[in-house]
Amino acid sequence: MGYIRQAVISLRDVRFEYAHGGFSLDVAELTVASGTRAAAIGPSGSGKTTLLNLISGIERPGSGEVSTAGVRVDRLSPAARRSFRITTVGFVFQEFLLLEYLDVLDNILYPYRLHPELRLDASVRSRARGLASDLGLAGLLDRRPSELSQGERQRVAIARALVTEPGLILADEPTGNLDPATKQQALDLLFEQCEARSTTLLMVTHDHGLLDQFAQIVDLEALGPAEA
Amino acid sequence: MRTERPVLTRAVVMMAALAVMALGCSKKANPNPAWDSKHPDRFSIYTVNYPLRYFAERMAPADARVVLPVPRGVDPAFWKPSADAVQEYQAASLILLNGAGYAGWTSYATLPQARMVVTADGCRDAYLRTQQGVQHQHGPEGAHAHGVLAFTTWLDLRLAACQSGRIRDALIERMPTAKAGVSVEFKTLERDLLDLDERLRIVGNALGGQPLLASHPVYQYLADAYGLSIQSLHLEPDQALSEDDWKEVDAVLKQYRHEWMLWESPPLAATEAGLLERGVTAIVFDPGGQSPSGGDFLSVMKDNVARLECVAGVKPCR
Amino acid sequence: MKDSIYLAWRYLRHHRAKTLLLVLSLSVFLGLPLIMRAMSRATQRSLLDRAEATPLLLGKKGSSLDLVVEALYFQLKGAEAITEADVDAIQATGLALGIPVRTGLMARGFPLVGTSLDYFPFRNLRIAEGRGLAMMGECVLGAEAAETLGLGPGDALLTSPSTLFDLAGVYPLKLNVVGVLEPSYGPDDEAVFVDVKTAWVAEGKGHGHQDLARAGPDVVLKRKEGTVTANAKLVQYNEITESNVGSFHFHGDPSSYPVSAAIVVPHDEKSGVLLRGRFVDAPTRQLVRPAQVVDSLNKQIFRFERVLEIIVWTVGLATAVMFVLVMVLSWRLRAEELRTMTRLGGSRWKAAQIMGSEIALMVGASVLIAGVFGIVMAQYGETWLQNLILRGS
Repeated sequence: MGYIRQAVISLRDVRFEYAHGGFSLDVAELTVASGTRAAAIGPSGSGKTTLLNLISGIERPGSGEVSTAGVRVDRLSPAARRSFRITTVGFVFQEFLLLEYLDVLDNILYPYRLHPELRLDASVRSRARGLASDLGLAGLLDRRPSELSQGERQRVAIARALVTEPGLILADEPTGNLDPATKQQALDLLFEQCEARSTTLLMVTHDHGLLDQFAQIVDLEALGPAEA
Repeated sequence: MRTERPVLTRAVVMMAALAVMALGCSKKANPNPAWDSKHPDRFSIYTVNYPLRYFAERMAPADARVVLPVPRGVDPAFWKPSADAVQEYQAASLILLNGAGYAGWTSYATLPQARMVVTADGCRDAYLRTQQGVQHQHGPEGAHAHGVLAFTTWLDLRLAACQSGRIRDALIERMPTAKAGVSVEFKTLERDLLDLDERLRIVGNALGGQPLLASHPVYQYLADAYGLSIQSLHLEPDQALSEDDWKEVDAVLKQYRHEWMLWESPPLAATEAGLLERGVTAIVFDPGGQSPSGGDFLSVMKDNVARLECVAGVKPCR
Repeated sequence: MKDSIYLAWRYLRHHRAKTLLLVLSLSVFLGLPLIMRAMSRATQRSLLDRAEATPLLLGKKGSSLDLVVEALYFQLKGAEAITEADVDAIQATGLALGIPVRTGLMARGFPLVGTSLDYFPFRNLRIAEGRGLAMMGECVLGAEAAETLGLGPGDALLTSPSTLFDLAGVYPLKLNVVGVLEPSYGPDDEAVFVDVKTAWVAEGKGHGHQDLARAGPDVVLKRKEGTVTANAKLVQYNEITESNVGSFHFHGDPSSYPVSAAIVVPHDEKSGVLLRGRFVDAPTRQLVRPAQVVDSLNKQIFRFERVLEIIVWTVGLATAVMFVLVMVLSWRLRAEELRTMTRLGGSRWKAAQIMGSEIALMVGASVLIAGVFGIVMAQYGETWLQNLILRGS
């Protein structure tokens, strides 16, 4: 699969319900244009993470259409969804989810070790080092995550999300564990990198204070009722 | 016809030569197992003194080597071999020891027991003791003395014959194919030794206990076997007697007027003269422990016996 | 696949202590039973080979095992001694060669073995350096002893003052090293060989001293009627040299002197049978076949080995179960890592590959360690195990 420079998120009449019941997500319609910096907001339990899972193909809807970067993700097989995900989507998590036993460089390059679709070669390593340098991590490549500050760890997570040159970054509360000063710094870096690559960003947050930095706000409560 | 004879002669000569060679080869061929490791083609017999060497040479097959490696002029009884010399003994097919403590070096050298024969062991109930050896005491062991056995066993010619018999047995055991030859040679040797023994008995009887003087205490077995009364001093034939030595001689002569004094080899003329002045005639009785400068053991013993026969008046003196 | 191996390797490297523990446990589980069995077989074989090479052994009536262990393997067991007269008696039968063996002393940690010249060709021992024994006071070293002590021809070696026979000890005797043997890969490599007479001197049964007939007044306590009593100033030699060897002597009849055992080499089978018959009812002596004694020892070892194997396999099984448990628990603790992997696009198969690579790397390391351990034990373990068996027998 080639690089997707123009990414689009489109959900239509999507209904998702966990097998054990208790939670469901209804999305009548949601569209995010490519290159947009969008935020999804909603209280805890409103389905923010589920939305990201549906868009990335981690979960499949019970009904409806999920289209990401022009691909009907809801129709793909699990293997195809994995393949699609690793080449098209970059993830940034609230808990960073770095691997303690890998150094910074190896953490950045981690996606390349997970799927045969991605070949780890010299150009990739060079790209990873460049990303690290852009994110101020150049002198920390041989450090372990436990030797880094919270902010540095989040930057490593951002670098890992961008290393595969995805068309879409899904960030799940990426600044949730950062202090206010570091939070903004991390956001600025994320925005800067996405803009530089024309990468679409959909960030899930519950922090209303950040919303004015986004071009599009998706209110999960307005998408459809969340049934307890 | 004239041309056939040379051909015939040549053929006969060649066949005779071949026959002689074959005979010689078969005589020399020796299947005996106990080879001298340094001379792998020969059976070697190492001895500690000249009498044993003589006895062995009389009996052993012609292709056997009989060796007494003691340097000329050194008394084999007191020789101290080097490690190399000991290793020569170690390599021998058969080692003949005398017994009675002869050749003290054999008590501290490492020799192969299986190839050793102590020739005089068992030929007597007990070995004779000398008057030598200071009794001494140190530490908790109590009084004891060293070097007290007399070891010139071959001067008892019956004992010498017994020693020869042990050598015979050892040779036959190790060279079974030579048994016949060894046995025949032993018989001849034994006869020679017993002849001498008989003559010495007659001498002993004739002397009837008449005391003899001796320059060295080496005639114990001669005295014991033939009833001779021998009083020994410690004098060297090749050294002039000192004043103290003459005093000792005079003291002994005071106790008894000995007429004869046995010497291992001819004493110095001055010694002989001094003794004559005192009425003592020196006569040589070579114990025969070392290789003689002339003759062999038997001829030396015959001469010894002849001189004693002269002393005893059994036969005229030469 | 190489990415899975890489991730597995990095994980194992990061958790060094846990990895090492698991690898070592696995090494023990994998290697120990096999190595034990191989070593045990080799040791039993080597014990039996030496015993089979020794036709008969004469000793004091008592434990035949102690007799064999002391005379063949030079492990001191305190077996009672026979005498040199016993060796002479064997010779006198004309049926066999008797080779005395006298043990009991040590020289710088190596057993001192007093024997005769016949021992060396009997055991096929050859001189590598120097020469064989020629005189009292000399010694020939086994290859191992020479190498460990760093000694060769021309050097000196002191015997140990303590002895199995005399707790009060004896003066050490300075031995002259005259030769070193070629390796024979057996107990002879670790022995210091001397003439049996030298062993007696080292035990204090023989000595050399100044000539008392010529001793000066400072040494003599009293002289009376041809008897000389010496005082403590009398110099007793603790080294046998060319110049003083003639003064060394033994008190009493040397044929009464002790010998730990006599190796008896019958001239032929019939002689052996005749000899054994003579000792069947001997009240104070026993003539044993070392092969029979060692075979019996080996059978005991075999029985013990079976029990040990069961224990080792049981422990090994428990180790394997623990290993699996640790791996399962470890991956449970890494559930979040698995989730991350899945979210990023990794499959369950990938996770399985990584887990499998971790196990494979650890098993591989264990096999390597077990292999190295096996090689080391093959080199040194047989001697160690042999000594352990002989000391404990």
